[in-house]
Amino acid sequence: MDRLSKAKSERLVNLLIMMLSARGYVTKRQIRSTIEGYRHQADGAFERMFERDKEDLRAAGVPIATGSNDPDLDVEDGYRIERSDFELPPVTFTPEELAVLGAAASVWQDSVAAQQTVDALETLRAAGADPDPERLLTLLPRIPAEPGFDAAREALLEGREIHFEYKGQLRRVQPWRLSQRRGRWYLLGHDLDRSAPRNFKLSRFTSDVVAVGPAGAYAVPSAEEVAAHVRFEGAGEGAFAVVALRDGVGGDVRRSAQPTSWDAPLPEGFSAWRIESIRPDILAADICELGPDAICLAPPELRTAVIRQLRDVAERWGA
Amino acid sequence: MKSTEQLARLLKLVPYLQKNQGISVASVASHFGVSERQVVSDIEVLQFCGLPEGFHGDLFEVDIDEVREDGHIYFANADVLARPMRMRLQEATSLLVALDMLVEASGGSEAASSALAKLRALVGEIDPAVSVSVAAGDPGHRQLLQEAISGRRLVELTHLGAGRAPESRPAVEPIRLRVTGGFAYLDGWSRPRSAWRSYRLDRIQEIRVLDEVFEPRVGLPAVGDDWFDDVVQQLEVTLAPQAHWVTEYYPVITRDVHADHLQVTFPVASPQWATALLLRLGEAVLSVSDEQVARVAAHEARSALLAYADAPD
Repeated sequence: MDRLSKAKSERLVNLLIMMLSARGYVTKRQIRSTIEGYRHQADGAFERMFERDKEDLRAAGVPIATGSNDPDLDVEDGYRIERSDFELPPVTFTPEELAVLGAAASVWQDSVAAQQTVDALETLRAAGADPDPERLLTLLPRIPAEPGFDAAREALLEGREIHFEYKGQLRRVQPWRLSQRRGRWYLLGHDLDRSAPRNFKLSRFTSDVVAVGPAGAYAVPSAEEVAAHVRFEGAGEGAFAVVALRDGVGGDVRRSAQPTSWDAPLPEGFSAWRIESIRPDILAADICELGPDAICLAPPELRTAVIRQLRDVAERWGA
Repeated sequence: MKSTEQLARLLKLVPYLQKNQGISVASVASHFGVSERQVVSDIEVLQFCGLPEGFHGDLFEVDIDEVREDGHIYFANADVLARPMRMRLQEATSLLVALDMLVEASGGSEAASSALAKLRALVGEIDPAVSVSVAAGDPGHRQLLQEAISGRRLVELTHLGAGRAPESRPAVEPIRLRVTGGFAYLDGWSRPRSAWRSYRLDRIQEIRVLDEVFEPRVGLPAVGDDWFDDVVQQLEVTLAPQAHWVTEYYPVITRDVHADHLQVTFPVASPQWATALLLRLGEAVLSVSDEQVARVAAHEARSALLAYADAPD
């Protein structure tokens, strides 16, 4: 590391300590005469340096307040860091909890959230806890990210508008929430061109996500309202089917099914099941996949669709 | 290295070094994920930091020569930074979501839930803005399995396989719970198969924890998120353009998009899986690399049609 950036780190830490340890607000003049790195700067150079240093501290998460020690004076010429805003409150964890925290380090995959989790755990380590990544190896949840996820999340946390192409079309959105279902990411946000909440699937983005405009540009509605607007692909009207399944098989279809009765006789070794599906568009495919282990009984349109698809497969590959 | 990055680390190092007097440069480096040289460089900065005025005794006390020569760090006179800074919003929310996943995957284990509750109290009311839902079956099952794993107890699973695989009741030595691609799995040694197997938790209908205690075997495959790593069979399929969604729902090895079709290579877990894929996709499949798979699919479709005797032509 070069001498210049070392000097800068030293200056930032000392500036922080001065604002943190002072009884009241410290003025710019006091800061300039106290901190070694500022003392010998010309006026203009000091101003630029000081502004950049404040920005860097704030970017690192340091809460710098402005104000004045003189309540009668209407000028904010002083700076301070409130200890209670700055310091992590005391916390202790049991060995079992530390094992869980250690396992948290490897949950995020392919996302900047992975490094951010590690940074958060280092803060706990600095507070005296020691998250143990080697202990809980029997529990391995993973959250994979997708292209666009990091940029959308960063903008969401900052409250910034984003622009992206969706199936080739430019969309301007205030992001509200990112949700993952079945390993796929969905973005819910306020679509500025349509003036309404809209859901987007990240895998359908056809460009990078670009954050636009200032931070804190809008407020995300309440958690309840946001939850009410989240829609996953294919979640729609809802549909049902009655299917005869060969006993003991039926995989994922049978798991979501309830036993039901059927008036007409069924082939031996079959029983009737009622399926409620949130994916009416793929019900026929779900049934066809089971081949001779499933017979679609109702409704008639679905039965026709299943027969058509089975015929197609028989003819297409039967030669 | 960006100076904000170094600043963030310095603010953690000061409280950390005070609590761990005499710690070696090597362990600090490994705990903070940086080189030993970087740790020494950080200490070189910190030796000139401390309370304002800069009088003797106001600066942090650390003997830089001892750090360089002896490799151990003693750090004093730093009460002003006795505790680390609060986490940034991005850091706090990342950890919250990760812990939430651990609560979910463990079926609400006590340690995971209390760690999450403590962290929430620590970071205050913040919206993580991210939610992850996992198809993980019955939470009671996850707890039972978690207990069986730590107690090394054999379990009997009533397991309904994917697609047309029949129900089975394997005795399994459970090793770990894992979540990949939105589904939770149990990894363990299948006694009837004499092999490592993964079971999707939402396909497990019943779990019986048996009395037998097992000695854990070595050689459990490491987790790669590509669960088909060990699959050798492949199937090449040409799909109509409207079937582009297929590649989002199934793992694929390669995918080439052309104007009027898609060329996709699937990893094939079993011949039954390949047949089921053709039955499922119907007319979206334009051609397929394995004639045998195609013939079996046609045969299955014909047998299925026998059940629709009344079917109009």
